[in-house]
Amino acid sequence: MKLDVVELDNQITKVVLAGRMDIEGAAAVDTKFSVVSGSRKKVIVDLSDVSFMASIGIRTLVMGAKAITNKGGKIVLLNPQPNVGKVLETTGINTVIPIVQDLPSAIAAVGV
Amino acid sequence: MTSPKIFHRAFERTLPGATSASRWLDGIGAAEDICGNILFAMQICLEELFSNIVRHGGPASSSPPEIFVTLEIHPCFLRMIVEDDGKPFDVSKARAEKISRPLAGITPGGLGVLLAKSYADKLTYERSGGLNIVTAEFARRAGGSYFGAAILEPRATKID
Repeated sequence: MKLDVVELDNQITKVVLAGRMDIEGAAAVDTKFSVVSGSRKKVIVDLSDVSFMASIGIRTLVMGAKAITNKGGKIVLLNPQPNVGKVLETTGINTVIPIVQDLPSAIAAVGV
Repeated sequence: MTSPKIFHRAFERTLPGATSASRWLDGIGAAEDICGNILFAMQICLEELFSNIVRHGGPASSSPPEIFVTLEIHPCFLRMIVEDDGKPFDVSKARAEKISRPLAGITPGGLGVLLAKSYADKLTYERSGGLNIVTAEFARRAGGSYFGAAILEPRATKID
Protein backbone atom coordinates (compact mmCIF):
# COMPACT_ATOMS: atom_id res chain seq x y z
CA MET A 1 0.00 0.00 0.00
CA LYS A 2 1.37 3.42 -0.98
CA LEU A 3 0.43 6.93 0.08
CA ASP A 4 1.70 9.95 -1.82
CA VAL A 5 0.96 13.55 -0.96
CA VAL A 6 0.58 16.12 -3.73
CA GLU A 7 0.17 19.79 -2.88
CA LEU A 8 -2.19 21.56 -5.29
CA ASP A 9 -3.01 25.27 -5.62
CA ASN A 10 -5.11 27.08 -3.02
CA GLN A 11 -3.83 25.02 -0.10
CA ILE A 12 -5.50 21.87 -1.39
CA THR A 13 -3.77 18.59 -0.65
CA LYS A 14 -4.29 15.49 -2.75
CA VAL A 15 -3.57 12.20 -1.02
CA VAL A 16 -3.02 9.45 -3.56
CA LEU A 17 -3.58 5.96 -2.19
CA ALA A 18 -2.59 2.87 -4.14
CA GLY A 19 -2.98 -0.81 -3.31
CA ARG A 20 -5.22 -2.78 -0.98
CA MET A 21 -6.78 -1.04 2.01
CA ASP A 22 -6.95 -4.24 4.03
CA ILE A 23 -5.42 -4.97 7.43
CA GLU A 24 -1.88 -4.83 6.10
CA GLY A 25 -2.48 -1.89 3.79
CA ALA A 26 -4.31 0.27 6.30
CA ALA A 27 -1.55 -0.34 8.85
CA ALA A 28 1.02 0.78 6.30
CA VAL A 29 -0.61 4.17 5.63
CA ASP A 30 -2.51 4.88 8.86
CA THR A 31 0.11 7.07 10.55
CA LYS A 32 0.94 9.06 7.44
CA PHE A 33 -2.75 9.62 6.71
CA SER A 34 -3.30 10.79 10.29
CA VAL A 35 -0.46 13.28 9.95
CA VAL A 36 -1.90 14.68 6.72
CA SER A 37 -5.44 14.89 8.04
CA GLY A 38 -4.23 16.48 11.25
CA SER A 39 -2.38 19.23 9.46
CA ARG A 40 -4.44 20.03 6.32
CA LYS A 41 -7.88 21.57 5.89
CA LYS A 42 -8.68 20.84 2.23
CA VAL A 43 -8.02 17.21 1.37
CA ILE A 44 -8.80 15.18 -1.75
CA VAL A 45 -8.26 11.45 -1.31
CA ASP A 46 -7.61 9.87 -4.69
CA LEU A 47 -8.83 6.26 -4.55
CA SER A 48 -8.48 5.44 -8.23
CA ASP A 49 -5.59 3.02 -7.62
CA VAL A 50 -7.12 1.35 -4.56
CA SER A 51 -8.19 -2.15 -5.57
CA PHE A 52 -9.71 -3.35 -2.29
CA MET A 53 -11.33 -1.68 0.69
CA ALA A 54 -12.14 -3.43 3.97
CA SER A 55 -13.69 -1.97 7.10
CA ILE A 56 -10.28 -1.26 8.59
CA GLY A 57 -9.50 0.93 5.58
CA ILE A 58 -12.81 2.72 6.01
CA ARG A 59 -11.86 3.34 9.63
CA THR A 60 -8.69 5.09 8.44
CA LEU A 61 -10.72 7.31 6.10
CA VAL A 62 -13.34 8.12 8.75
CA MET A 63 -10.82 9.00 11.45
CA GLY A 64 -8.98 11.25 9.01
CA ALA A 65 -12.21 12.87 7.88
CA LYS A 66 -13.18 13.58 11.47
CA ALA A 67 -9.84 15.23 12.15
CA ILE A 68 -10.22 17.43 9.07
CA THR A 69 -13.84 18.45 9.66
CA ASN A 70 -13.26 19.04 13.38
CA LYS A 71 -11.05 21.97 12.46
CA GLY A 72 -13.48 23.29 9.86
CA GLY A 73 -11.87 21.60 6.88
CA LYS A 74 -13.29 19.57 4.02
CA ILE A 75 -12.47 16.16 2.60
CA VAL A 76 -13.66 14.41 -0.53
CA LEU A 77 -13.04 10.95 -1.97
CA LEU A 78 -12.04 10.89 -5.63
CA ASN A 79 -12.84 8.29 -8.26
CA PRO A 80 -13.02 4.95 -6.42
CA GLN A 81 -12.96 1.80 -8.54
CA PRO A 82 -16.47 0.31 -8.94
CA ASN A 83 -16.09 -2.46 -6.37
CA VAL A 84 -14.47 -0.10 -3.86
CA GLY A 85 -17.25 2.41 -4.50
CA LYS A 86 -19.80 -0.31 -3.71
CA VAL A 87 -18.09 -0.99 -0.39
CA LEU A 88 -18.24 2.70 0.46
CA GLU A 89 -21.94 2.84 -0.46
CA THR A 90 -22.72 -0.38 1.41
CA THR A 91 -21.32 1.04 4.63
CA GLY A 92 -22.93 4.45 4.11
CA ILE A 93 -19.63 6.32 4.06
CA ASN A 94 -20.80 8.18 0.98
CA THR A 95 -23.45 9.86 3.13
CA VAL A 96 -20.84 11.50 5.38
CA ILE A 97 -17.85 11.92 3.04
CA PRO A 98 -18.62 13.13 -0.50
CA ILE A 99 -17.48 10.96 -3.39
CA VAL A 100 -16.78 12.55 -6.78
CA GLN A 101 -15.50 11.15 -10.04
CA ASP A 102 -13.16 13.84 -11.37
CA LEU A 103 -10.56 16.26 -10.09
CA PRO A 104 -12.38 19.53 -10.95
CA SER A 105 -15.40 18.29 -8.95
CA ALA A 106 -13.12 17.33 -6.09
CA ILE A 107 -11.49 20.75 -6.06
CA ALA A 108 -14.90 22.39 -6.10
CA ALA A 109 -16.09 20.15 -3.25
CA VAL A 110 -13.27 21.11 -0.90
CA GLY A 111 -13.83 24.74 -1.79
CA VAL A 112 -11.55 27.09 -3.62
CA MET B 1 -23.57 -34.77 -9.38
CA THR B 2 -20.12 -33.18 -9.47
CA SER B 3 -18.02 -33.35 -6.31
CA PRO B 4 -16.87 -29.99 -5.02
CA LYS B 5 -13.22 -29.08 -5.19
CA ILE B 6 -12.10 -28.50 -1.61
CA PHE B 7 -9.21 -26.42 -0.26
CA HIS B 8 -8.41 -26.24 3.45
CA ARG B 9 -5.73 -24.51 5.48
CA ALA B 10 -4.96 -23.32 9.01
CA PHE B 11 -3.68 -19.80 9.56
CA GLU B 12 -2.11 -18.04 12.53
CA ARG B 13 -4.78 -16.34 14.60
CA THR B 14 -3.13 -12.94 14.10
CA LEU B 15 -3.66 -9.93 11.86
CA PRO B 16 -0.73 -11.00 9.64
CA GLY B 17 -2.53 -14.35 9.48
CA ALA B 18 -5.39 -12.53 7.74
CA THR B 19 -2.96 -11.32 5.09
CA SER B 20 -1.71 -14.88 4.57
CA ALA B 21 -5.30 -16.10 4.24
CA SER B 22 -6.08 -13.38 1.74
CA ARG B 23 -3.07 -14.34 -0.42
CA TRP B 24 -4.06 -18.00 -0.20
CA LEU B 25 -7.54 -17.14 -1.44
CA ASP B 26 -6.13 -14.97 -4.23
CA GLY B 27 -3.98 -17.90 -5.34
CA ILE B 28 -6.97 -20.23 -5.48
CA GLY B 29 -8.99 -17.57 -7.26
CA ALA B 30 -6.34 -17.27 -9.97
CA ALA B 31 -5.78 -21.02 -10.30
CA GLU B 32 -9.50 -21.79 -10.43
CA ASP B 33 -10.39 -18.80 -12.63
CA ILE B 34 -12.89 -17.40 -10.16
CA CYS B 35 -14.45 -14.19 -11.48
CA GLY B 36 -12.89 -11.07 -9.97
CA ASN B 37 -16.16 -9.74 -8.59
CA ILE B 38 -16.96 -12.94 -6.72
CA LEU B 39 -13.38 -13.16 -5.49
CA PHE B 40 -13.70 -9.57 -4.26
CA ALA B 41 -16.82 -10.53 -2.28
CA MET B 42 -15.06 -13.56 -0.83
CA GLN B 43 -12.03 -11.46 0.11
CA ILE B 44 -14.28 -8.95 1.88
CA CYS B 45 -15.94 -11.73 3.90
CA LEU B 46 -12.67 -13.50 4.71
CA GLU B 47 -10.94 -10.29 5.78
CA GLU B 48 -13.84 -9.16 7.97
CA LEU B 49 -14.51 -12.55 9.58
CA PHE B 50 -10.81 -13.14 10.23
CA SER B 51 -10.23 -9.64 11.58
CA ASN B 52 -13.28 -9.93 13.84
CA ILE B 53 -11.98 -13.17 15.35
CA VAL B 54 -8.49 -11.80 15.96
CA ARG B 55 -9.63 -8.50 17.45
CA HIS B 56 -12.78 -9.51 19.33
CA GLY B 57 -12.78 -13.29 19.59
CA GLY B 58 -11.23 -13.53 23.05
CA PRO B 59 -8.57 -16.07 23.96
CA ALA B 60 -8.34 -19.23 21.89
CA SER B 61 -8.28 -22.59 23.64
CA SER B 62 -5.85 -24.14 21.16
CA SER B 63 -2.11 -23.60 21.06
CA PRO B 64 -0.84 -22.19 18.80
CA PRO B 65 -4.04 -20.25 18.13
CA GLU B 66 -5.26 -20.87 14.62
CA ILE B 67 -8.14 -20.07 12.31
CA PHE B 68 -9.21 -22.72 9.83
CA VAL B 69 -10.49 -21.76 6.40
CA THR B 70 -12.14 -24.17 3.98
CA LEU B 71 -13.13 -23.29 0.45
CA GLU B 72 -15.49 -25.51 -1.53
CA ILE B 73 -15.99 -24.90 -5.22
CA HIS B 74 -19.35 -26.29 -6.29
CA PRO B 75 -20.82 -26.10 -9.79
CA CYS B 76 -23.37 -23.46 -8.82
CA PHE B 77 -21.82 -21.73 -5.84
CA LEU B 78 -18.74 -21.26 -3.69
CA ARG B 79 -18.74 -21.99 0.02
CA MET B 80 -16.23 -20.58 2.50
CA ILE B 81 -16.11 -21.92 6.04
CA VAL B 82 -14.19 -20.05 8.75
CA GLU B 83 -13.66 -21.83 12.08
CA ASP B 84 -12.10 -20.67 15.34
CA ASP B 85 -12.14 -21.76 18.96
CA GLY B 86 -12.54 -18.37 20.58
CA LYS B 87 -15.53 -17.27 22.60
CA PRO B 88 -18.93 -17.97 21.04
CA PHE B 89 -20.00 -15.21 18.67
CA ASP B 90 -22.89 -15.47 16.23
CA VAL B 91 -21.88 -13.07 13.50
CA SER B 92 -25.11 -13.76 11.62
CA LYS B 93 -27.07 -12.13 14.44
CA ALA B 94 -24.59 -9.39 15.31
CA ARG B 95 -25.68 -5.79 15.02
CA ALA B 96 -24.72 -4.25 11.71
CA GLU B 97 -25.78 -0.78 10.67
CA LYS B 98 -24.87 1.51 7.86
CA ILE B 99 -23.34 4.81 8.84
CA SER B 100 -26.08 7.41 8.90
CA ARG B 101 -25.09 9.90 11.58
CA PRO B 102 -23.17 13.11 11.13
CA LEU B 103 -19.46 12.45 10.73
CA ALA B 104 -18.59 13.95 14.11
CA GLY B 105 -20.71 11.35 15.92
CA ILE B 106 -19.31 8.29 14.17
CA THR B 107 -17.24 5.76 15.99
CA PRO B 108 -16.23 3.18 13.39
CA GLY B 109 -17.32 -0.27 14.51
CA GLY B 110 -19.64 -2.96 13.24
CA LEU B 111 -18.88 -2.15 9.63
CA GLY B 112 -17.01 -5.41 9.18
CA VAL B 113 -20.07 -7.42 10.18
CA LEU B 114 -22.20 -5.32 7.85
CA LEU B 115 -19.82 -5.98 4.96
CA ALA B 116 -19.61 -9.71 5.63
CA LYS B 117 -23.40 -9.96 5.74
CA SER B 118 -23.81 -7.82 2.66
CA TYR B 119 -21.29 -9.52 0.41
CA ALA B 120 -22.14 -13.15 1.15
CA ASP B 121 -25.29 -14.43 -0.50
CA LYS B 122 -25.86 -16.53 2.60
CA LEU B 123 -24.10 -16.31 5.98
CA THR B 124 -24.79 -18.83 8.72
CA TYR B 125 -23.32 -19.56 12.15
CA GLU B 126 -23.10 -22.66 14.24
CA ARG B 127 -21.29 -23.50 17.49
CA SER B 128 -20.09 -27.08 17.50
CA GLY B 129 -17.32 -28.95 19.30
CA GLY B 130 -16.10 -25.75 20.93
CA LEU B 131 -15.76 -24.05 17.56
CA ASN B 132 -17.40 -21.04 15.99
CA ILE B 133 -18.24 -22.16 12.46
CA VAL B 134 -19.23 -19.43 10.03
CA THR B 135 -20.30 -20.49 6.56
CA ALA B 136 -20.53 -17.98 3.75
CA GLU B 137 -21.90 -18.88 0.34
CA PHE B 138 -21.50 -17.05 -2.94
CA ALA B 139 -23.72 -17.86 -5.88
CA ARG B 140 -22.61 -17.97 -9.47
CA ARG B 141 -24.17 -15.16 -11.40
CA ALA B 142 -25.73 -15.53 -14.83
CA GLY B 143 -23.64 -14.54 -17.83
CA GLY B 144 -19.95 -13.90 -18.12
CA SER B 145 -17.17 -16.39 -18.67
CA TYR B 146 -17.28 -18.19 -15.35
CA PHE B 147 -18.92 -16.58 -12.36
CA GLY B 148 -19.32 -13.44 -14.44
CA ALA B 149 -21.33 -10.66 -12.90
CA ALA B 150 -20.72 -7.13 -14.05
CA ILE B 151 -20.27 -5.09 -10.90
CA LEU B 152 -21.15 -7.13 -7.88
CA GLU B 153 -24.25 -5.84 -6.18
CA PRO B 154 -24.21 -6.59 -2.46
CA ARG B 155 -27.44 -8.34 -1.56
CA ALA B 156 -30.01 -6.45 0.43
CA THR B 157 -29.27 -7.08 4.07
CA LYS B 158 -31.86 -7.50 6.76
CA ILE B 159 -30.49 -5.89 9.89
CA ASP B 160 -31.83 -7.47 13.05
